[in-house]
Amino acid sequence: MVSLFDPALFWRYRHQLAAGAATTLALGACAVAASLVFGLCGWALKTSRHRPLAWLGNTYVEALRNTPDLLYIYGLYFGLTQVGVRFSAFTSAVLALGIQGGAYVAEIVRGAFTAVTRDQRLAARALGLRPWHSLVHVELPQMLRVAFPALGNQVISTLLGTALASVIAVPELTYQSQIVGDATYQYFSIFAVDAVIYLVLVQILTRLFHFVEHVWFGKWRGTV
Amino acid sequence: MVREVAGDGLMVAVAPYVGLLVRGAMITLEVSALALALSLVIGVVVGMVATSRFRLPQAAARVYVELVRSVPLLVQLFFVYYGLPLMFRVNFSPYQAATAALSLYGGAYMVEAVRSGIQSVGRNQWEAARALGVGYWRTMAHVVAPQAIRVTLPAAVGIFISLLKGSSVASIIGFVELLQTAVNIRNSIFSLSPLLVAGILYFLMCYGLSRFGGRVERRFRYGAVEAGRG
Amino acid sequence: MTAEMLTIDSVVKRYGARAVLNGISFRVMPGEVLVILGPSGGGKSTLLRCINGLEDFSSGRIVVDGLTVHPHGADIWEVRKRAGMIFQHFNLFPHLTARQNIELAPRVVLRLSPAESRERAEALLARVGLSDFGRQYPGQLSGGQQQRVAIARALAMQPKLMLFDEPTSALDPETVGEVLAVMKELATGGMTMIVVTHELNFAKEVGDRIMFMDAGVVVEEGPPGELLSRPQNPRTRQFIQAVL
Repeated sequence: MVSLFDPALFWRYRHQLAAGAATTLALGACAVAASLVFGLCGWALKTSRHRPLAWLGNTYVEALRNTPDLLYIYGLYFGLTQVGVRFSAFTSAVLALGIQGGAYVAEIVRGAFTAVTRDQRLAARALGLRPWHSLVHVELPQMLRVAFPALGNQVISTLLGTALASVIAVPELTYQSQIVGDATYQYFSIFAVDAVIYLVLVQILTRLFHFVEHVWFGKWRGTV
Repeated sequence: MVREVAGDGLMVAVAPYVGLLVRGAMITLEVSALALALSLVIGVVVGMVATSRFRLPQAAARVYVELVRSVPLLVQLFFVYYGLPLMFRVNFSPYQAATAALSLYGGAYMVEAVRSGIQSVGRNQWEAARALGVGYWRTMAHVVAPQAIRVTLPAAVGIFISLLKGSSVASIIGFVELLQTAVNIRNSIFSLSPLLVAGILYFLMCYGLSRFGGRVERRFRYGAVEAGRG
Repeated sequence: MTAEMLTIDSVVKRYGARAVLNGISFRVMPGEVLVILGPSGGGKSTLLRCINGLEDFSSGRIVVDGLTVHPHGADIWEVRKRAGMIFQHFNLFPHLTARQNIELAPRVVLRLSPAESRERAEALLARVGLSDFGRQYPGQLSGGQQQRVAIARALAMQPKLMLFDEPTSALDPETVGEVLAVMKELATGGMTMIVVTHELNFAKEVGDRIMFMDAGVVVEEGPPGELLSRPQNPRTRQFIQAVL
């Protein structure tokens, strides 16, 4: 009979857990990248001057924000076989989390865009900057500052969302923990360890974002 | 819209199961509402502790909130469902485990909602009440709470939506709520349509709530003074 | 041959039923400093924004240095190169240092090399008396300093015409002087300027001509001495008394 609480479990299964954490990070990074792509597309649609496109963008954002992400993981993994499309578990999870996260990113970008004042766009135009240059050199850097904290939170919630990929057997951290739990029957210890690893990852990311925010935007005090 | 996406044949296949899915939605609603009620209790108690002057309970409240917000809901659920019974020789049904995990999860966000609600009420309100000789509890109940609710209530609606969506995670421990019902039906008729219907049901519940939340927020914003007297 | 720097010919601008500019016509010759006075809401800022195509107008004609202004035409970018604009609230880019603010347009619009644009920026910072402030961000500068950077930023495009939209209205009284001094130096250097302002002393001292605008029309115009001391129109008289 093993003891009920066994922190040494962490050491014994360190390789599995490390591999799981690495997969979690890779999955999280891919999902964040996908959510940025979906988010920018969603925002572009939402703000389109063509009514049907704007409707499409709004529907995307509202539909995805009001339904659970697990639905999309199941839907993409099992469901699309009917249409003849088959994704790997990893790809399904990336797409599901990316599509869902994109809806939130679209809202964040919209907020940031409205935060850059009309005055800034006027000043850029008065200097003869074309819309593209104005976007790249004047608007985007300021949008990034406004959106940065919210995007940081979004990255973290996407990272936490990757745990759901365990249901379709993506070998990420939670899946590995389950395997260890099933083998040792030490669910209490292993999920405690699992939780601590997530906690550490989230704390590292949070600190990192604060640091980057300070370095990049610290000097821009006060908008003009 | 359903027809366009799933095709007529598929919708015919899911038709007999719609009643089952609606029943699943009711279970989702029930467990989420129960969890909301419990998170409200947690939120009010821990939220008041978090805004109190006592250092240690304050720190404990912060650790609780930080922990819940830094760990996936699924891991919390596994911990409650698989981990706790081993440690404490209790046994949870999936329903109980889901309710407990969702309550702890919602509770942490509710603590923040209550805390920012209380902090939105200025110091001068406390001072005015003290000047009138009103004690802590009566001030809290008659002066602060009615004003804090302007901030807390809209946030609570948002938390309810998170719980509705989050409850789908309980399907993983075999709790047959809306999503699990849809997955079960899918496994017998091999069609995407049950998931689609489930998605629509989730949308109706969450979108309806978010519209309601928006109304509540607007109303409190404009009727701030009246709400304060409530 | 003295071609006009700017021709405004019966320009009308409507917002719905309301006419903000109701048939404005005037000319500005090269090197001339035109000061526009008038109550707020009288259409002065709108007029300036129509000149470099930041706003559309309903009818009439605007010609800048031989180029006809169509807000959506291809020429508008050339017009904006030739007509620099100074805003009431400076509108510096908060994420760029003072020097980077000045360098940006020469680099991306005129495609100057980094060395050239930097050299130009340094020279302009010196010209507005801010050589030591190139590395500061706008948020670290006073209002007067920001506005001087904004003037340098506009000058970096080597415009032939400068439009000033109430350049000192948002400034603390103690920093108004430094901005007016820079503007005065520009005028003496032969820059063609249109200045919307409430600074009557500046108008008198630097302006070649004053135009009084109200309710979308030119009420009165003339040389500064005459217009300020013997206004013909009752509305002008009332305004000048109120400002003094």
